[in-house]
Amino acid sequence: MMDFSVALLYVFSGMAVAGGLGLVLCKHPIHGAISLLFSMLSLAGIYALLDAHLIAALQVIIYAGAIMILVVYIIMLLDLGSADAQTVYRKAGLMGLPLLALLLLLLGQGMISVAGDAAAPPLAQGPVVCPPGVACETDCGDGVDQDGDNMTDCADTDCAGVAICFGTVEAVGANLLGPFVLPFEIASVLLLAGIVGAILLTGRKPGELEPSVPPPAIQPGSIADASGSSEAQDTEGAV
Amino acid sequence: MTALLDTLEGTLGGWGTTLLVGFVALAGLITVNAMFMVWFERKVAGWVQGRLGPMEHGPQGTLQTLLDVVKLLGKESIIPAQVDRKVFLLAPVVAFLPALAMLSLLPYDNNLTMTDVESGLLLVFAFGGVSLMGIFMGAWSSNNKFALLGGMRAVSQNIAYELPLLLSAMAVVLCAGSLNLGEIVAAQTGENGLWFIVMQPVALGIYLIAATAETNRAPFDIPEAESELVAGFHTEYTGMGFAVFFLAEYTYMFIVCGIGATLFLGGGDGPLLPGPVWFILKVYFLLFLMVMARWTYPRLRFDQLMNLAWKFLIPLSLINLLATAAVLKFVEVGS
Amino acid sequence: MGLYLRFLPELGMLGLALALFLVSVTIGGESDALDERRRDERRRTAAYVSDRIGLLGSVGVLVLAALAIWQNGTLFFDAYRVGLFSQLVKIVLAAGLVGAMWLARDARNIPVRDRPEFLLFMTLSTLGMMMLVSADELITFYVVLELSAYCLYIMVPMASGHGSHNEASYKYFIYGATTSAVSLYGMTILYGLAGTTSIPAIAAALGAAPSTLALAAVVLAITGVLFKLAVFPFHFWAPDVYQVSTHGAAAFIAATSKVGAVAALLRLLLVGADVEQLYWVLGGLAVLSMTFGNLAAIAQKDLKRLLAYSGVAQGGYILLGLMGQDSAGYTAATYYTIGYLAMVLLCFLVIVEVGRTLPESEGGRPSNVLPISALDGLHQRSPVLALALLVGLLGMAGVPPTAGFTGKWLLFKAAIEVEAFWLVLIAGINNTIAIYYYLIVVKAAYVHGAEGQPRLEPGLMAKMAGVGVSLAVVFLGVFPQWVVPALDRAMNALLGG
Repeated sequence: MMDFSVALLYVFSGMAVAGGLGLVLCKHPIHGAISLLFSMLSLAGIYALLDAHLIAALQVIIYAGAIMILVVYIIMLLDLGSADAQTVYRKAGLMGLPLLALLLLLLGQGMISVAGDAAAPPLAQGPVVCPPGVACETDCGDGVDQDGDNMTDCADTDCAGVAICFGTVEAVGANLLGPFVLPFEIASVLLLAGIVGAILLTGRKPGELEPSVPPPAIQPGSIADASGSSEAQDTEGAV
Repeated sequence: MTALLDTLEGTLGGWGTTLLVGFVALAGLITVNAMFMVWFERKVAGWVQGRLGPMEHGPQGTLQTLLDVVKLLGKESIIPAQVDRKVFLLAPVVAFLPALAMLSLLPYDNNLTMTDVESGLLLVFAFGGVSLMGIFMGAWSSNNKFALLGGMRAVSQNIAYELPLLLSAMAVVLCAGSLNLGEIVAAQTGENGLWFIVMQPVALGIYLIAATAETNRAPFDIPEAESELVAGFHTEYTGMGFAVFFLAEYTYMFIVCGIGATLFLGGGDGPLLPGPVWFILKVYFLLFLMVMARWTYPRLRFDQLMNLAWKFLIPLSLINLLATAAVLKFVEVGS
Repeated sequence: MGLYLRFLPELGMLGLALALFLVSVTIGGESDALDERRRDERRRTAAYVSDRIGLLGSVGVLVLAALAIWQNGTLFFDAYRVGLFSQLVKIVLAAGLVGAMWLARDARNIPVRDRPEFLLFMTLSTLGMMMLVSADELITFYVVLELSAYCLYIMVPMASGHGSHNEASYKYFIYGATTSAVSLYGMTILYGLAGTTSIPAIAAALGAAPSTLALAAVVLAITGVLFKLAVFPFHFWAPDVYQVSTHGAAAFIAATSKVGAVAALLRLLLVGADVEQLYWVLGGLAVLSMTFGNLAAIAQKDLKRLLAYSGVAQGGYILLGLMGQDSAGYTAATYYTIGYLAMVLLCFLVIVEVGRTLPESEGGRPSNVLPISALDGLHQRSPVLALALLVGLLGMAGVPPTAGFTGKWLLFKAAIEVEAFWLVLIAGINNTIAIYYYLIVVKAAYVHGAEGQPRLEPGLMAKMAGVGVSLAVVFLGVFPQWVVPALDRAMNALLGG
């Protein structure tokens, strides 16, 4: 009989793929968004099966709880109906399908070739083996700081690959403030830029808007239309 | 009882038994809690307003809700013609299901947690976010302007108040040093344990206000403000659909108060009585506070509501979090 | 101290960004208590102060980058690799920032109140590019790629107060977000194949077990960078964005961000060092890009659009140098990119100066378009600017003795060495086409009369900059031996690990 967690893995994976397909195939944006929500939740389930409970919880809070809600909110605010979404799909599908097939082929081939030699090493169960001449946390479960670096047990990055520490809050935190401290910190700069940008582009008070000018008229049937640009003098079509 | 469990284990295996027993227990808890709360709320309302409240059926009207439930179940479920059928039917389920998961995460006593995970606190809040999606789906699919307005208000309100809720809980997490609800209780009940209400009174205040808003309760009940929006997001729901939304709401009240009791009041800690009893008592004490708030304060306007969250509660909880971290660091360095 | 020294240019950039941010929230801070006149005054002060801070600060960063040139080693748990290659590119980027800051110093089309933020985004974007050059780990790489790209997305619509500019902004943002998602997808496959996010380790893993999946992953992963370089299938945004953004922002996107993109591509291609089929992918993109860019540029009537399409073509030339994945090709590509930076800045210098004289349009707001006819008679109106334009355009056309000629020569030579003769042939044909449309612009400036054109009065600084950068372009072209050996050493170090 199949292991229960393996069965769950298949269920979650199937749901994730089905949700993704739903996102692409649903005619109405809201239905698509709800499919995506299920996809996100299934991903959280997969993370939980991988013993990454913290990541699973964060996935649900951030993606299912915050991002998807905002996505749906904006779809509703803009009142996007299904009619808006149906125009160009066929052409896009014609172009996309061969690419998709190619990618699937490559991925499948790659997976079959990799499947034999399990890429990721299994998590260690026993004590941590220190590199010669370097002190490290040897026992990750005893509450004692062996190497004297003020980081005990799972909080020490030495323990990152040990089964009992994998995916714990301590281990994730130690990784974020250890090997991945640079992206972690730079993300804050990125977020600052995001906040300033959002305020800048949306936050003008009504009274401070530039004097309202009608946008320049688009000449009907101009070449600009053909290339999808409403700007002046796009002569791309002449090529 | 043990014999029954043994038989079950024989047929279903360990996993199946846990699942079944847990499910039955939670379903019972949800129903009883909702029925009790409706009666309790009406009684408190009567008390506050100097009248009797329900008295007709049973002693002190205790059977009133039971009869209400029967009436509700007997009603026809009407699905209006213009609704988005699939989403309309799915919405109550999405709103309600996370409640089950959240209830199973609560620590009713030492070692009495159905699913004991390392970051239980985060998971509870995470599922709370999912249930919001259910409200939203119901609001949108109803194709009704009152429902839609209610849904939009619910979303902006929930997003705004989720931040102080999480931040105030994080201050407690800093004190306890763990996200596991059982360990948070343990940190309050040990030899030198002190209920976190002593160390974190500000966080408790923020938590209670934010929790009231998160459950869309008065004075923060603008998503379903009767006087403006008929019934808000569940305007179009009848019969079972309405009942499920209703049930979800009361279950969430129980859950936020359960978390509150865990974080600030020492969970199942207390003299004489067994742990689960203490836990339930504390939960209902907090619920009593919420009910009193409903009958004491008038409903906030939308802008007041937003200002309270973004301009007052969030900065305050950030300051609280920072101060807590600083104090803990100094204590650690000092010792 | 050594550690700080290694991170010095980036620290300088962060400090500059912080200073600009503080100006924007303190001096430029809005207060309802102020009346309209006082508020306006404060905005002007903030704009003035931030302009000065931006220019001086970027010069300061250039100095810091020069100080840090001999640094070597890794930082942040090996996520960040500092070497001759990265430090050289950082100097170039800092120089590009100085140029763009100076061109944007009084961008007419950015509302005064948004000026500090505009410069802030320029700084942050450059910071992203600088870190991109050193990022030796995929997550870092992706985050800083996003940082550099996101700021650009904001800079484009900042020029507008109403809807007419939004189409280009949306195009830019949505294509950018999509390609970046594709990029991320490729990176996840790379991680899946190698089990690590460190670029050298991935390269080793891919080298040990080559597969077609690895090829697909690398191609997907470089998509985001190819988008920034505006190479053929990812070029759609370029003409519109160049045309509608303010001249300063366009200069930044056209010049500085291209340097960042090329350097990032060099860094990212390291993962595919042993994936041989990349040769064909990059070669194919190069051909498509040059051919399309050059053909489309012929038909343009707007100078900025023309530069955009020519930029697409130039991206193709640069890919020629990358396809062999050897140090000669990388050297040629970097050398050419440095020259290209100078030449584009020259063109935009002229665009900014000429753009100042154009009549205001679009409802009292300065227009961002610059028809080629606006250059008529430039040699009579301002000989210096005409000369700058000439040098810039001829440089891009690859006429000796400019850096453009030497750079193309190096590129073609590197391509022939990796047996891509057919490609060089196509590139040569393309170059001939390119000369045609560059000469159209030169003709407008030198042959057409100046009748009916507004007077042009470039400031002393503008003239000096024009002459100085022109000289630099020629100097770089005539004495490549001053730069190429250093680049060669940098590339060898980069490829050697």
